[in-house]
Amino acid sequence: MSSKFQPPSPSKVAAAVASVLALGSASAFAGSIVQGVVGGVNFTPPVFADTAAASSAASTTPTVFPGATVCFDLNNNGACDAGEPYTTTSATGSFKLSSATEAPLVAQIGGAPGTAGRNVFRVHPQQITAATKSPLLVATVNITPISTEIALAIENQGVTYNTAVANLAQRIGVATAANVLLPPTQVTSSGDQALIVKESVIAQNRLKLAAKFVDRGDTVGELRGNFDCPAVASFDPTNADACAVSDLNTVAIPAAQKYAYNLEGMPQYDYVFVIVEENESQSSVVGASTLPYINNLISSGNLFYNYFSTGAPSEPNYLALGAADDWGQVGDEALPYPAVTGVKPNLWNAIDAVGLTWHVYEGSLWPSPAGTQQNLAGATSWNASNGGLWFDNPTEPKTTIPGNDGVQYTSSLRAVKHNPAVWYADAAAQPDFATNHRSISGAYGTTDVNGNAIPYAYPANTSSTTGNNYTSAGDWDSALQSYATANNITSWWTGNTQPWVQDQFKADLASGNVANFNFIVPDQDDDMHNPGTVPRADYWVQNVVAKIKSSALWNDPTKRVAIVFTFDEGESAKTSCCGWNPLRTGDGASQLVTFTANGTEVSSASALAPFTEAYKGTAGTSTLTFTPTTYSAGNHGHGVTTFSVYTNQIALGNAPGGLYDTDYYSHFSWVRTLQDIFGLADPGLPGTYMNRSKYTENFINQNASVLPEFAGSANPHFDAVRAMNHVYQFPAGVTRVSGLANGGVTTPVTTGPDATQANLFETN
Amino acid sequence: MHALVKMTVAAALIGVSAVASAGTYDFSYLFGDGQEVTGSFTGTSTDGGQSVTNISNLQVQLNGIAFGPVTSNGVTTGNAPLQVNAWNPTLVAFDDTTPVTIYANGALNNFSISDVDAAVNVPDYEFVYLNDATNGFYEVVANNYLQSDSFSPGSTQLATDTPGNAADWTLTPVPLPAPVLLLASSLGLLGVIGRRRRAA
Repeated sequence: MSSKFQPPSPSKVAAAVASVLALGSASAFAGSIVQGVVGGVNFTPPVFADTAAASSAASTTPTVFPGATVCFDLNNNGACDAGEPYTTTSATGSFKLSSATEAPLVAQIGGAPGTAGRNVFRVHPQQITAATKSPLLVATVNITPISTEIALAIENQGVTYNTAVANLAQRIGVATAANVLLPPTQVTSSGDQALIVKESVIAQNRLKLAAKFVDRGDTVGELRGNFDCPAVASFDPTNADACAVSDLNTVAIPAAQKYAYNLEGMPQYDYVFVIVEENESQSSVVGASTLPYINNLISSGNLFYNYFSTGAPSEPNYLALGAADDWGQVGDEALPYPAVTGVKPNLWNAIDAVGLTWHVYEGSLWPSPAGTQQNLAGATSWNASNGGLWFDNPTEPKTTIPGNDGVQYTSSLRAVKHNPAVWYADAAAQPDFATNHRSISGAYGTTDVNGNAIPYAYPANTSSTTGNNYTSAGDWDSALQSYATANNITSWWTGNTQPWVQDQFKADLASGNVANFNFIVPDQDDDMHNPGTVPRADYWVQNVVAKIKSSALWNDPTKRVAIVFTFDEGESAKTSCCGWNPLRTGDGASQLVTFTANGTEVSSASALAPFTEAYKGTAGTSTLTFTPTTYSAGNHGHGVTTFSVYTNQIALGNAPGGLYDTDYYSHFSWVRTLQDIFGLADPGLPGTYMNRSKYTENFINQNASVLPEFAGSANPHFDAVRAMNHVYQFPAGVTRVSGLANGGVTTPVTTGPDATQANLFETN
Repeated sequence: MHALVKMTVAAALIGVSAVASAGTYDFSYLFGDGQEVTGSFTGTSTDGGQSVTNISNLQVQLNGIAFGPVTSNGVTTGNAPLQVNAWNPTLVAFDDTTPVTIYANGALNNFSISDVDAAVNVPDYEFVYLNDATNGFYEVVANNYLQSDSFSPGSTQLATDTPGNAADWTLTPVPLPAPVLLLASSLGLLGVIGRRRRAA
């Protein structure tokens, strides 16, 4: 190496400088000069109301953040502390800053630590290094929600900066990877900008929650969903058996941000598909020779052995699957339509409220001609003329569609009541409600919609409630498509912009246009409901899962995709057994319940906003009341049913399969779990979980005096709600209170801890 | 008449000798946000100060504050002298193989002035003027790390122009004091006469 370098004072130091400079090395120079923009999005949540006129969709605009404090975070605690180089962003969100030592960049938006509603974005030092042309020059580095996600990937996934950027770009689907490094305002490609904006909304919500964790002093135990530690605010004295010392530690921003993407230990998922079959207990499904594919699906994934439905018959369960409450409904009797009014928390609106998306895919979705579309505004009750069991609009021309077998079919194969979204007036009034309902095909006749032979014989002369004769049934989906084509039907519902095709599900998977949350409802011939249809259901599930597994999103290792397979309820005759309230009041008039805290209805519109403290749930600070006061049918449980999860990360070999969890869960637990997966609630504030999903053991203990339906429980853990995170470890010798005792399936473990406490939703 | 010719020739030669003479130069750069770098160095120019090499005795001020040690609470930091380096567009780095030239035309500048141990210790200060057409880097940076690292918003010890503006750069030879000029003229004249006599 030549050394013409002539420092004024020759020395060993100068020689070292000469060497470094001659190599052009950037890494040896510790200083950093950066400039950039602090940017993100302004998200205006939807307005929820019971009428379309008063409702509006969310809107999002790219923005910059003037007045943000930017610093080099020398101690990497995610805060701009005294003595750390800092500046304040200009009116255009720009900043420039230098540091003599390498450190992460932090932007504090909305105020210093402790300021309500503040947010913190970060940049990992590897990103600064990558942006540095030369140590003596200015590096352009933007501080955004997505730069923070890149930092979290480097920190928690053990990947390099370049890999983190590439993975994130692939996961959200931008055409130009470098665009993820820009503030959304500077992305010129409209397609990429839309994707970056959506991801920024998700990230900002999570990161804001992380700042709240820090400011509130949350402990690790609380953040990972373990409430069994003394000195944890939500300590549960009855189960102080699984408390790790580390659970008592509080966290700084970097760790808190990690937990914000793993609320209560639940990983964030990009796509969740929930397939809900009908009316089979776990003992009738797991190990059943009549369900070979479903058992293959279960054994490939992970199984929850003590998953309970929350009522009987179907309707309370579907209500619960949509909002963690059955609202006191105890039967299938006629419901007002929509049943739940007054703006009540539900999954559909909660997902909309954080900028995510949902779809309901319904089998035998009816193609209605223009002018007679099934329309919520014109539908006021169950159609009594159809037996009072299936919802149909009387104006539908349901006798005019011939099947390929010549039989005049009705739309009654579709059970609208199995779609939990339809019961919530404020969800139905949202602008995206119709568009979010889409068709999904199954297996009918001797071939499926793809022309593949169906590998089983139809049950002979099957007679279903709908009156259809399956023995000679043709391709029902194709018949629907023919009808739609012949009648020039491009929409099935007023306001639905989706052209009617017999399998929108398949089309959406091909285009990547499935939603974050996809609720899949088979029709009455594919859901095990109608007599003799169990083999059909097995094939239908195979058909649906195969479409998912062949999609690009499933096979993309950067995406997290979960298929949940479950049932609305078990078979009551066998396994109805358990829960706080073993004595149901019986089917009767609906008992729609309202409940208030401190005189304010908890399930108010404000409770729908993410992270709103509608009800804090702290003992002695509020009064919770119910109307009616004897709400005695909400959590009685209805026997063990099947709940399995199979993920693309298991299929790709990145996460374990074949695991089980014997802790007690229910539809309420599942809704709580979904709220964690999608970042819809704040684990530190029970009241932010919707409806009965907030009823954790700690919550019940703190509010026992005003929760009369929980009086006298012999096992508070059993009856409480918790995320399905497998954190709780059964003490040695504890025997499960399980409905399986009535069934034919034996759990791997019935006493003491499970073989492993692994989270069955884990992704790596 | 002969003496007059000799003096004229001598004066002309003095002018020629200025092309290759050492001198002191003042420089300044006015950033877009109003901050300003000023300074001086000594060097050799063969074109009347349009380009200067053999640079030494560097002094730099950013907004009037010199690049130099800072004492706070009895502790002094920043004791390293200044160095100048040239930019190597191939290495994309400031290296020690390329001779350093500072130009009066800012659009030609590719240099950095920094504390000598900036690469092995925490840096103290730097002034960079870069026009790298090969890589598309055009920027001017002045930063006093000793003070900008703890600066509060509104402080003025970090300035950047990306890209830089050549019109905001000045490089000016410092005129020698009159006695020095007279002495230089005399020495130059004697030198010329001496050479002519030896050649005769």
